[in-house]
Amino acid sequence: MSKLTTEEKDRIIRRDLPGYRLVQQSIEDSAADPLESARLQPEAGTPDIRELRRKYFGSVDEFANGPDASAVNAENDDDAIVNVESENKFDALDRGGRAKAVVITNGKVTGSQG
Amino acid sequence: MLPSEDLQKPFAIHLLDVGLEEYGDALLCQFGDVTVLIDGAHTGDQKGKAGHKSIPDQIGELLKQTPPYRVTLLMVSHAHEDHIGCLPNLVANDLLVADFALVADPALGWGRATDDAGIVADNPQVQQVAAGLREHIRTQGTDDRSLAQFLADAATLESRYKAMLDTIKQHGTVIRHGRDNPKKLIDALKAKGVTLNILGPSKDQLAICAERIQQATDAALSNISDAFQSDASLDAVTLYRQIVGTGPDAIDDSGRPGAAVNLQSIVVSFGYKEKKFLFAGDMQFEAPGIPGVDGLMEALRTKVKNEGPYSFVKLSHHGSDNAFSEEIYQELNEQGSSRLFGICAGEQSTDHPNPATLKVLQNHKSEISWARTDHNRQSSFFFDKPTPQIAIEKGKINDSKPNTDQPVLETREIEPIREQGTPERMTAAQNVVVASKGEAVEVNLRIPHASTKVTLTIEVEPRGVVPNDKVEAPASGTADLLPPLSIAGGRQLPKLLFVTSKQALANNIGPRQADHVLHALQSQKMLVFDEIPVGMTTAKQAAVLVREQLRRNPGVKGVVILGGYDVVPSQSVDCLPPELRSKVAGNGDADNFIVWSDDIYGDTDGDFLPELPVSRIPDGNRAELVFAALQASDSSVGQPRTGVRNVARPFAEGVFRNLPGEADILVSRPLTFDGTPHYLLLGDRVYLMLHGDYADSSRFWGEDTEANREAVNISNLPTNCGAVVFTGCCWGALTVDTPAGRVVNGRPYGKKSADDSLAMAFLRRGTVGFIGCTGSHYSPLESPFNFFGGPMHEAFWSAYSIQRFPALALFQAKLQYVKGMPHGQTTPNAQAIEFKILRQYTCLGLGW
Repeated sequence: MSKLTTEEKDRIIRRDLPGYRLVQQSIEDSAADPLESARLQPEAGTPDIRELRRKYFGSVDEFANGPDASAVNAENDDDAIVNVESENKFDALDRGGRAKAVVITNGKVTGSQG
Repeated sequence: MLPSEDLQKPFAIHLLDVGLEEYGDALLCQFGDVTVLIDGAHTGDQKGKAGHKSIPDQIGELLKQTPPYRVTLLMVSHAHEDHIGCLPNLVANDLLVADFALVADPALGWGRATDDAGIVADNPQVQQVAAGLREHIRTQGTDDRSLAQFLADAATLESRYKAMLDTIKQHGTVIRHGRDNPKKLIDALKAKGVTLNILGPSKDQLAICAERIQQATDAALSNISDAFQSDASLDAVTLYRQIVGTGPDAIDDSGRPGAAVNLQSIVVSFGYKEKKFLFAGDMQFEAPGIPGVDGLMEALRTKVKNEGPYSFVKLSHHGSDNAFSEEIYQELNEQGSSRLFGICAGEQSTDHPNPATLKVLQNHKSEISWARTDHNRQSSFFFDKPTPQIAIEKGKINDSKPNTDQPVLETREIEPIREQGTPERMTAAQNVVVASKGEAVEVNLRIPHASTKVTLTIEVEPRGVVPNDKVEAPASGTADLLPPLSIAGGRQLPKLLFVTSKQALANNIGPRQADHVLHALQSQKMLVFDEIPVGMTTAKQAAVLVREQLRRNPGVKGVVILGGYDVVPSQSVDCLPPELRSKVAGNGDADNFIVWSDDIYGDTDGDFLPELPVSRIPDGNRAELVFAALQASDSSVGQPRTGVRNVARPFAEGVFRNLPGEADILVSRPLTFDGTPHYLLLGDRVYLMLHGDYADSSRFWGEDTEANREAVNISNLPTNCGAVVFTGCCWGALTVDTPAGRVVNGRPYGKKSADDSLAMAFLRRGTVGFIGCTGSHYSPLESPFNFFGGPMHEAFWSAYSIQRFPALALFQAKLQYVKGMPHGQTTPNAQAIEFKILRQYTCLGLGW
């Protein structure tokens, strides 16, 4: 879980995504909300990457990233998915203008929803 | 509020006197504290004439106000002169103010690509005639002076209308139907005890009609310019008469945009004190009159039917027979009794109300009451007493006397021609419909009022003959009325298993249509399993049945699901392995990494993971969607590639560059759906990397466009779309209302209709496979962009370049993606995102 403070996240967002600001995650913007207990539990899960590779390729070792690559930075403290919205937001009802998730990795924005 | 106070508040519908001129609508509704003015009669009706009171005078008297007259809501049903009428003048002269305006969008109404666009002819007379042809035909009886005024008014209508909306915006809220969110209006009315339900038309219908209007207007301008150039002595009135008349120089009026403008009429139901009131402008419910909207109109009629019963119905299109019929009457009464009807028309109307409409009303005279302004002038229906009261200014209620002596012409349904060389012989009528709507060949004829004999010979050649050597016809024996279905356009397909629930599919698209689909599949040697039980909600249970079929039928290369999630359930899947989920608790993912997936239906070994590609043809409650998707032919549209990307997604540039073709990918911003020149997504391969939203799948957005206008909507789709569409748009392939991660126990997750989804719109236009996400998508922002969605996009197009089956290409792309996971980014969130990318991508459409 990220140990970045809200202020740090906000600073990163304003630096890497000019025109956007950090927003507090809301029920509207995320499915991971306090109503989670009322959510329908998923019918199925997903096996880990080793099992997927074993199933489809019969081997877990032949790929460049290797089977254990997933564990390298597994506890990265600077890793976070946060919600941002445009500072030029036009209308709260406008569907295209909803808050969006962005990915912070190693202190910078590396990916975005959409 | 005390009941006695409430009782004193007005509760009435007033059909205003719309004067002498033909056609025209103007209604004033009083729902307690809410006043609604619907349409404004004719341009000249701001002044009274020949004993007819002006529109503003009538409003003032009824509202007991002095100018400016204030209404809560001003509605303009559609962009015709006899509905916009004198409203621009009233607003411009401060005689009328409105808190809200719910209006026809001028851009759509005039078929403009943008709000500012407009074809203005150099010759004002050309402009006048072209504008006049948009409107209802003025009959031969209209004198030259009145006709000249009508044409002049028509030519300035668009600019006056836009100016009116700009003025209202200064102090009120303008909602353009199909463009602006009506929530604020609905909430404001609700706070005053009035419900507003906007029933239609759909955005699809608005767009189709706008395209039709644009085409007809362009053609008219060209024809009219030619006519003026070839005869310098012509004037606008003379040419107009020639065009709409019956002489040898008459231009065929079937291309006029009038019906398309009518079909943009906003259809609303108001509710007040447990009563409902239906208003539909000039909506041609009975005979739409333009191609491509039959299914949409059927859906609209269903909505209108289900919304009923109504305490009052304003018959649309001035009581035309293309708006009303016995069938429509029955639909309005299906949910209960709709007993009061009103018709708006000017006193000198000739063929409106239509005799056929009046005959229907007359046949039900013992059950209903009606008033008509062409005979009764201002007519009021009062609902503030337990029994409704009708007050008319002139004549008698329930007057069924036509304004013309033409006989009532029945709409005849004729058996389809089953063999070549045996054409039906029919007598010319005003409107002849051959076969049922949308099911076979439809022929609409307008025969001029002339003393002549017209003989028509129609030969219909069957298309795509269906081999029928082993399969028996459906028991109903009626499926032969439906169009033949050539699966995959006759292409050779690998061995596929089509899976559905016959009964559930029938519930959604109609029993005959479902029979027809299954019969076509079986007759073309497709493997079909149609016994998924109705109401089965668990994908695991359904998948067990499918797996058994796969076991019995070795060699199947793919599974095609027929129908929405309510026919064959999709599976709610947690994308994350348990260990990873524990590391991303409290994540900001919009779906909490839970998505819908159909992968389980490709499982042959019982581990719930797919060994076969799976595709799904969603039904959208629309038979023609299923028909079109099944027949997708993979033929070229003439351009190898097209695409649009969000300006903030540069990685898409590299993905697109690898596709065959020369076209550049379009970029939004600055591109918006209504940009100039208007663009169409014409390409065999379509690539979209834009924002999407689960609540509105009918459009995709770019980044920070002006007023947040979308980059793509249905207006950007050509009639025939390319074979494959790949999207990186959030929820772009979601065909239900609720993403999997947001479904609440015990609550339905809804279903998107065919009108509500760009994905389904592509399928209806011939796309073989629409590849997209059922959840939110993630893009790489850091060069070289080789993580998150990037590698999946690359892998899909790479696989598709080798073989042309989208479902198989997606399956292969996923395997490729698994090989590379994690793609450089190894933090828990990054890995979670890649698992989500893997699980959520799905193939809609035939896929093969």
